[in-house]
Amino acid sequence: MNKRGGDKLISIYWFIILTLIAGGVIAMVSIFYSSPYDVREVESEILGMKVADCISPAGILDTRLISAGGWRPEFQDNFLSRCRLNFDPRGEFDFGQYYVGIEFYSLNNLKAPMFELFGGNQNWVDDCGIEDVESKKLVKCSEDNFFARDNQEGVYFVKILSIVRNTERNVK
Amino acid sequence: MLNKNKRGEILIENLVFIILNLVFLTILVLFLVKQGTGVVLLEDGYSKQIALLVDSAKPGIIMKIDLEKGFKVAEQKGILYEDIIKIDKNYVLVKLSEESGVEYPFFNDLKVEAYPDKLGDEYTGKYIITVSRRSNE
Repeated sequence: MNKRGGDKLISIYWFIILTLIAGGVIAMVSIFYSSPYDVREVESEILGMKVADCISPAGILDTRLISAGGWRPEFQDNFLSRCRLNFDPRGEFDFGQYYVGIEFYSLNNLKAPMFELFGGNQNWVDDCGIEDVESKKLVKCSEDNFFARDNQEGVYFVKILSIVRNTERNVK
Repeated sequence: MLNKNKRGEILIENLVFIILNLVFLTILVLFLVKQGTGVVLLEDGYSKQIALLVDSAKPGIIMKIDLEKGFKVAEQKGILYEDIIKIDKNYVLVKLSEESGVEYPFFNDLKVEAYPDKLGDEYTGKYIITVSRRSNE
């Protein structure tokens, strides 16, 4: 009689343990699946590659950007449309969700850029260096460095910083 | 005679216990499967995948994307295949049910069109995305 009572008690405990485990699994799965995919890192890498391809197709700097060894600042005026970039298609953000900055260095002086280009929202640049628990809610940054030459054998070091925010769509 | 009855009782109790355990585990597995193929999750995944593909695409590219899971969900929820993916300005909108829908922007400033792939009159479960220059270029 006692043994049977003990068996029933074990069954109840078994179900309590099962319920706790199931509750834990359900909670973890719900948390995991309720967070959206964060694709900003890939997005910023694609942005960097696209800009690199635009300013330096096949490794030679665009002649509208540099010709006869002289930089052409007017490239900045239509930089985004020249590179077929649209950072705020609906105009819904007062501040765009993207930024891209390019620095061109002479091989003789890699400390100070000799020419710069940028497009998008500059406010995000400072957020790139922040590393704490909440930094995933800020921006994702990626940096691309490469050498490119102009059409007259001049070689330059190019640094591209691409930033994507889009936090609301990627982080919960 | 008494012993026989007791054995029968134990067997039924064990059987009920095992059945309850199985029911419990089945519910858990169904929950996990349902979570993994949820509408919002699919919409989020599709919209971002397509936006990233468009971002990295060059003019003239035609992409075929497998949306078979999405087609099945859309069919169950009464959404027309033609309405699953919409391109509005530089946004990809994926809609698999009347109540939901996820959009994601792309920065590649090109003309993008999306339509379901057909073989004769039959849908293949794939979507075709074309990327081309804008007509004013």
